Order: sequence, then C-alpha cells, then structure tokens
Amino acid sequence: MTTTEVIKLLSIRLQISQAEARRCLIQELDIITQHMNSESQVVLRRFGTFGVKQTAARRTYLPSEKKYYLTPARTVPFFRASQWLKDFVKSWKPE
Amino acid sequence: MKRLYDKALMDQIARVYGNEQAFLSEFSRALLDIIREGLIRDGQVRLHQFGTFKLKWMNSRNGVNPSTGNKILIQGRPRVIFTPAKRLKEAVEPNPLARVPWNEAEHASLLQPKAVAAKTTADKTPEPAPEPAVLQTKPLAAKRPVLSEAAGLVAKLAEQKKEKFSTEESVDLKAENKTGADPIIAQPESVVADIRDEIEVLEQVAEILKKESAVEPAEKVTVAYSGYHQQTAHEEINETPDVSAFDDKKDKEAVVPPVAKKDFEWNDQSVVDHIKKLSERHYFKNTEQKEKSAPKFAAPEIIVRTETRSALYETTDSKSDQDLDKELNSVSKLNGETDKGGLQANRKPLLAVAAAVIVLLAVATLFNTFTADNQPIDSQAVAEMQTFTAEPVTPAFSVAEEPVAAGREQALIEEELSTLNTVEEDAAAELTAGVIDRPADIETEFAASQLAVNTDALIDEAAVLTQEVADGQTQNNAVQTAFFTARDYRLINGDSLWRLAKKYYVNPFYWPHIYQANQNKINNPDRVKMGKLVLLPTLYGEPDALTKQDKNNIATGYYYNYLYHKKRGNPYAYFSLIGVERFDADLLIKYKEEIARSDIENLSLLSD
Repeated sequence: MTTTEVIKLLSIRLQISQAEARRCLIQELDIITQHMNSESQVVLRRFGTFGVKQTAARRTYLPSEKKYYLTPARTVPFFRASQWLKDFVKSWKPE
Repeated sequence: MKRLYDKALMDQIARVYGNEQAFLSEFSRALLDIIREGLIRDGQVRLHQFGTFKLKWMNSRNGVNPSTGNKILIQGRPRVIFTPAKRLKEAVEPNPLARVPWNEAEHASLLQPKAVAAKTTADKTPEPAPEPAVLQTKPLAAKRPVLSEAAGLVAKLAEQKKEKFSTEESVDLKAENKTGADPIIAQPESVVADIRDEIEVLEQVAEILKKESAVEPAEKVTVAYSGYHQQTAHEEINETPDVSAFDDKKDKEAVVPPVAKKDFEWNDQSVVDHIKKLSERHYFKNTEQKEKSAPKFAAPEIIVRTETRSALYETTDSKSDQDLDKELNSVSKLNGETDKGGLQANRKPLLAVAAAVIVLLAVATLFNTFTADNQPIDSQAVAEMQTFTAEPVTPAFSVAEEPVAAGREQALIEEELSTLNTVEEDAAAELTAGVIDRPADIETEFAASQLAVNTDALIDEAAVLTQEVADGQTQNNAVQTAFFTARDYRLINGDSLWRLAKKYYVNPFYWPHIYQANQNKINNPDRVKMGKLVLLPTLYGEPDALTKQDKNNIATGYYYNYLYHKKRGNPYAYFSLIGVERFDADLLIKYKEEIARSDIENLSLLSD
C-alpha cells in the first residue's frame, strides 16, 4: 500500500475530497515529526510510539572500498509497535 | 520526557492549522485503521517522506525460560518494522557527523569498553566513596589475594593526590600573594574541600584493604574485579585519553559521551530554531492556500442539487390541505394503474403522515371488502379507471372530478363529465373566437387604455408561463436519468437510515428504500452500526414523482420493518403497514397470509 492508495481510501471513508485528505495526512505526519525529538514522544493508541534514540559510535566496513570507517554517534527515529498492534497482526503470514 | 497522546496531538494540529478537532480525531482514527488494514493486506505501507511500515516474519526458535531454566519453543510470529525515510532522519538530526576513516590507534579506545566504560565515567563524579561499602560485602571473601595489590594502588593514588593538592595550594598562595583574588587561578573553596575529602576517603580505603589482605586468602580471583580496579586506577593516574588526534571540531564532538551532547545541543532556543526550520522546509510553503481551505465535512455534490430542488417544491405547494386530501383519496384507489406520482409526493413529510392516515380510511375498508367479496368494488373501480384514462388529463379536471369520484355512482359521474366537457368546449370556443373580436367592439379611450393594461398583464403572465415551462422541461430532462445512482457508503458516527434518506432522497420517509437493499447487513433498522459498508440503492424517479419500482421497493422496506418488529413482539408493529399502504397497496394483498389479521383490523381502527 502506498500513500496515494491511503489517500483514496481516506477520501472514500470520510466523504472528503482527495486533495483535502492529502493535506490532512501531511499535517498529521508533519506534527508527528516535529515532536520526535529528545524531549518528546508521540504515542498513538492501538498503534505505537514514535520517538528518537541515540546510537553509539561504531566501526563500519565499506566493502566497495575495502576499508573500515568510524561512524559517529547520532540520533535516530524509531517506532515501537504497541501490544494491540502486535496482537492485531498475529494472524498475518508471509506468502 | 514529554509524551504526546492522541488527543494532545490533535490539539497541536488544531492549533497550528486551525482545523476542527472532531474531524481531526476522526481522520487520525481512519488513517490508523487504513494503515493496519494495509499491513495485513500487503505486508507493507509506504508513507511518502515519512517511512514504511513493514511486517517481517520471525521464525520459530528454541529459547530458555530464565526463571525455571526449562527449554521452550518460541513460535514464529510477524514483527512490525518501521524504516524512517530520509526526510524524517534529517528532521531528527539536521547536521549529522560524517564518518571518518578508521585509525586503529586513535579510535580503538573509543569503542572498546562498552559496558565498563560507562561505569568508569559514572564513577568519576561520585568519587570512590561507594568502594568501602562494596568491600564489606560477602563476595569480597573470594577476592582477597588481590587486595594487597589494590591497597598499594590506592595508597599510591592518595599520595599522588596529596602531591597535586600541595602544588595547587602553593600555586594558589602564590597567585594570592601576587594579584590578590584572581577569579581564574584561585580555586573556589568547595573544590579544595572536595579534594581533601577525596584524600581522606582514599586513605581510609587503603587501611581497610590492608586489614582485609592481612587475613589469610581463601581461593582464586575473578578477572572482572581486578580488571575493573586496574582500569580505574589507570585512568585516574593517566587522566583522560588524548582527543587531539582529531583535526576537525566535529570529530571532537563525537568523542563526547551522548548524554553530555544532548544537554549541550537542546537548549530552549535551539529547539525553537529547529522547529522553525522544519516549518519552513516542505509542506508549509503554500500558507495562503492552507488558510483558505480548512478541511471540514464537505457535503457531496448531490446534496447541493437536492437542496435546490426541495426549495422548488416548497414554492409549488400552493394548494390547500383539503384539496390535497381529495387528491390522495382519488389516487389511492387507482394505485398502481395510473402513475400520477406528482400528486402523491408533492408535499412535506409531516403532511404526508397526516395524508397517509387518511388514506387508511379508504384503502383499509377497501381491502376488507376486497377480501370478503371482490365483485362490486372491482366493477366500480374499473369503471372509474375507464373514465380517467379516456379523458384528457388537465389540472382543472382532476380537481373538479375528485369529490365525484370519492362517493357517487357511475351514472352521476358520466353526467357530470359530459357537462364538464361541454363547459370546456365552450370556454375554448370563446378563447378562439371572442378574444379576437373584442378590440373591434371597444370604442371609448378608457376601454382601450384598460385593454392596454390587460395586455401588459397578459404579456407578463406569458413571460412567467414560458419560464415555468422552461423549468418544467429541465426537470423532465433530469427525470430521464435516475435521480440518485447507486453507490456504496460507509456509515459514520451519527448516521441513521432516516438521516441518510433525508440527505440523499430528500424525503426521510423513504428510509426503508435503504433498509430493503441491505437486508442482509442491517439487523436492526433503528440502530445501524458505525463503519459498516452499506449500499445506497438507486432512486429512479424524482422524490416528487416516484416510479412504480421505487414505490414497490419502499413498500417492501416498510413490510420488512413490520416483520422485524412483529418478530420481537412489538405491539405497534402494524404502524409500519401504513407505509406499505401508502407506497404500494398491492403488497398488502401479496403478503396477505404473512400479515396478521388483527393488525389489519387495527389499521382500520386507526382510521376511525
């Protein structure tokens, strides 16, 4: 499923135009990204939490150059699925 | 750490963009629903410039229950994985540090001690005060042989500290002697006190260690313990490792532990700047457009169209109530055969209820007699039918004819018809001949002026008439296509069949039309469930002029409603038979055996 399909479904379900659905989606995602920082998290019920975590500095290997590098520590976005979502998804199986 | 829950998030969005909060919460619920469904359907959902949610299958594996030590088989399960898009990563950290080519000598020390390094850094600030407490605990018994070494090391440390302290003091004294109170060189008193305390503690530790080592050793030494102590000692003696190897300033920041970096970067001002940057970045460019079109529950185009139409109907309702009742009586008798639906539905819903009750009088009695013995009424009805179909239908005719049709005998009807016909013919003759002759008869100026006025009025009337005709033509064109074409509809909060019918079919009394089409989906027509997908069936005729099929559908809907309530033992179930009666009386005869006799009797009582 892609963004266009999500927008189509939203417009059908809420009886709004696709342009409006798109705008609303962008707004929501934008506000979520704004609150993903070291001081705040976003918790959506029955879905999960969006937040940020720190990764340590580590040694990495570039196979194309056959060299090792030091990648420094950085902040990375993460999503943790809630228990409800995990239970909801349990029935799924790969083809 | 501040946690934003659903409602707070909606607050934020409402504040920033000025949308309705109720709509937003509905929207986010729908969005999450769709993402979940998409996950199950496709296994992944991609949101542009945000990230992708994916399901990954984790195979079953063998595990151990840590509390009991038993082996368990952990079964395979899907796992939700989120991979952030590039834009999200940039938003979280706008200026990430670049990677540096690996240099074993310089970088190895940064990565080597992961768990232990954290401990050492933590111990630097609280000083070695916790050590004596650790030493007095039981596990020390196993670690005695190293204690002598440790004691020596601690003693060394204490000596070194003392030497340092003395040198610092001397420096301070010198500085004070030279320049008085110098803020940079002179150490504050608290720091001096700290160093004294440190030395005291170290000495105490050394004594304790000596005592402990004096006791005879028992067994081997654990490696972790000695390593730990050696490291602490080593670091404190040689001080912090050199970071000067890095040329760039950015690389120096990389060496600083993450906690310190966080404190450094996230001041209040920096957070504000960060958000500002975000806001300028991508979506916020068209601010003017955004303000203009705040999303709301947009009414579909169909509703706008129907509203204009309903306004039309209200204006055309110029007839008195009595006339309407008469019409109804006449039409109900001829139900089904002559489809002059315009008369039937040409009024507001409340009026329709009253009319329906009156209709019962005629039709319920008719029905009773019909079942008992068919012939007399049938012949009468057929005769009436013939007269109706034979004559040309004009509004004047229908209005004048109805009281006759209601009660009188056939002969009387024929007589009156003949008289009416003659009257009409005479009138037509007058119109054709007399109007043309009149101007010749008039001689006086006064009469001429009056005529001029009359002609003006006539012209005005003609203009109005042509307009009306044009309107009628447009309406007729609309009738050719269906008034409402069928489509799916998902029920949302606050929906009911009544409201849906009012929204899409103008007249809310047509709600059984929907109920009849979704018999399998809807159990209780009075209470429909939110989120269900429902078919809104086509309405072929206009809400004013329903076609025969529409009426039949609505009547069957009312009949189903009757059955539903009858099943539940509702004593007022027979009320819905009024609807059946009103829209298609033939159904009452069709389902004669399913309908209880008492209900039909009740119907007849209702009319009284």
